[in-house]
Amino acid sequence: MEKCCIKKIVFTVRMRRTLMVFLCISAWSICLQPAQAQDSSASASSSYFITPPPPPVVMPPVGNASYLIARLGGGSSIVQDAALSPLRYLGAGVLGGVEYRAYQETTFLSIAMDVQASFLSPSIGNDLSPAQITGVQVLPNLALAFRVTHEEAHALRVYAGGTLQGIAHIKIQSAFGNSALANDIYFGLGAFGRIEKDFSLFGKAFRASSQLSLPLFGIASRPSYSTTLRYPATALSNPLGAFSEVRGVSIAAFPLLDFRNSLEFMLGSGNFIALNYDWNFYSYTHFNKVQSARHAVSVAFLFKF
Amino acid sequence: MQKFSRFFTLRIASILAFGIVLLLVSCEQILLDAPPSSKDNAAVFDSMWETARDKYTFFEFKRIDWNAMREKYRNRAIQAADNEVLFNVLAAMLNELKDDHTNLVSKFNFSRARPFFNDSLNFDSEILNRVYLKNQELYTGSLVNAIFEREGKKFGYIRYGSFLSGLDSASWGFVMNRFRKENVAGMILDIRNNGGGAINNCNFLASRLATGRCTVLTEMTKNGPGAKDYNPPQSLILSTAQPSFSDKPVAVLINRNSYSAASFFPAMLKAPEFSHVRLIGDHTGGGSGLPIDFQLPNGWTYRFSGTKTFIPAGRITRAQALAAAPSANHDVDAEVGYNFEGGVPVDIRVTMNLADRSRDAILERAMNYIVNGR
Repeated sequence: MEKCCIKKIVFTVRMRRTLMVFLCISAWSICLQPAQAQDSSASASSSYFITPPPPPVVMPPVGNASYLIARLGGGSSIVQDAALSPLRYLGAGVLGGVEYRAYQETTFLSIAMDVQASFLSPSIGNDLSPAQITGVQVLPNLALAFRVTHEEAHALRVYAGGTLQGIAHIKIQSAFGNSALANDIYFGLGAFGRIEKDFSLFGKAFRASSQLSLPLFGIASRPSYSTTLRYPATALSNPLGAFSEVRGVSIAAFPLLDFRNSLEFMLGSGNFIALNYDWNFYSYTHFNKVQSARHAVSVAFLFKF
Repeated sequence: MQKFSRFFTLRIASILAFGIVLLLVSCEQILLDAPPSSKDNAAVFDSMWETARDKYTFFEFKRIDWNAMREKYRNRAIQAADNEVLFNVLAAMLNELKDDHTNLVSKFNFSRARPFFNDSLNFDSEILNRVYLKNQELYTGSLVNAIFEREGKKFGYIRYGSFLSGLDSASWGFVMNRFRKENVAGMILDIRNNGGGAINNCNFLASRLATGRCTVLTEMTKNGPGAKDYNPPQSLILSTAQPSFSDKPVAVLINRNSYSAASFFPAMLKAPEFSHVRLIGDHTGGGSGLPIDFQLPNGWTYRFSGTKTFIPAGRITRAQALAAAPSANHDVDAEVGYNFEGGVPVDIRVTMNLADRSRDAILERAMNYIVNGR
């Protein structure tokens, strides 16, 4: 049991290192010069007796393009949910997601849904046989943004707009009982920002992007203060009473940060393969305080259509 | 110059954005609250005591001074030399609640309150099996059923040993069909020594005994840490379901070991729509709060009652309430109803003499009720 716990911690540490490297590459790429079309005649005259290097692949302008994106990966989660336990739980999990993304001349639209399932153990180890937690996060997201910068080569694009974002985080504790299940459900409106940069590296065309969602207000649902699964709503005199713990929340009561970073490599036919890193954190402070952080690395395929 | 300036600005912006990302990711550990120490006995004790203070629902009803319990047990917990001693101190404090929905669970022990441990059992499976069932019973799903004959009359008998065992329409339908074919004079539903289980099974049975749609229970849940922080009472409403058994007398056998769901079900039967039903035996053991589970900083789990449930006002007299729970404060929530945490009052009280191995006095009294209607 102890070995298993150590393995999980080592995995988490290694993964975080990988993420740091990935982030460094992303940031470096953002600082690179944009990919430029080469002057083929100059190139030919200066290399009369040697084989000229192949011209670098140039990222086509974004223009009007739509992509269907599928991603698969893994990640780690940290959860502290007072409705279940005062302990901090952490562990690894798997991630899958789909997204529809559309670019117009000056707009960006993304409709995405990610699901991450994590298997969490308490940070105190398993010697005392504490309960385990299985957590499933469902993250629907609709973002609409407008380009606010217009660099000449269109190699760097900055978008700002709004997002309609949700989180459904279901946690099931292995302890049997009426309160062995807790949920955080949030749905709200927020601000959205995205930055994209095209660049070439080793003669290949890449695109790096980073986006941030910051929900400002919405509604959140947590387990009741009594933390019980009650009777079926149909058997209650006031069925809405089963949802009494739904509250309107602002960023102060439900701070939520959602970062998504991507490094995309262009394949043929305008399709891409991408390496993504997502991080989010949220906290609900009204009662039965919950805090959750999530890291995920995934590989995605962007099919142009 | 302008181009240089723009490039410079963009580069600064990019580095800044990257810096913010790094900062927030590394701030994760700062944003998360530090969990309490698993090695600190005081932190473990305080976690349990404070959670119970904020969420346990029967302090006033049971006249328990929880602050006094802190005084009584905290130093003993802090001074506990090892986990076994600490476990015993915490379990002793939980048992002060006199609530069988309280348990402390560790790898090496499982505490329980058993408030009616010393009461008469009013049940003996050996007598039941040898004298009445005689190995002729049918096991239909979770319903053990038989037909008893006495002086030319037949009685349908069902033994339902645990509300944890699922009930299904097919099994219930088979048993009802059998009773109808045998033209039984009435039905005996034996839930003595039934320690409870799923409330849905209570609904299943009660909806098949009711003569009409009815409000069976009222529930209150906490909505804050204060002693008076409760949501408005909610009614639990049942509709009838088929095949029903509502046209002939029904005797439900109970004792002090009929607990939790096995108290919820008899409590439902106090509604006027169950006028053909009588509770026979002893008062139930109670357990009107749905148990809620928590974990201590050292990983042990524990639970206690986190709601309170009532038989709606007007169905239980004060004398009946005091008979079932003499020491309880029945003035609390009296306008809502009778809190059956201390037990559901029995309609016809019978005490078994276990020295008499030839008969089950409660079962005999049930047959008598079916024949005579009283």
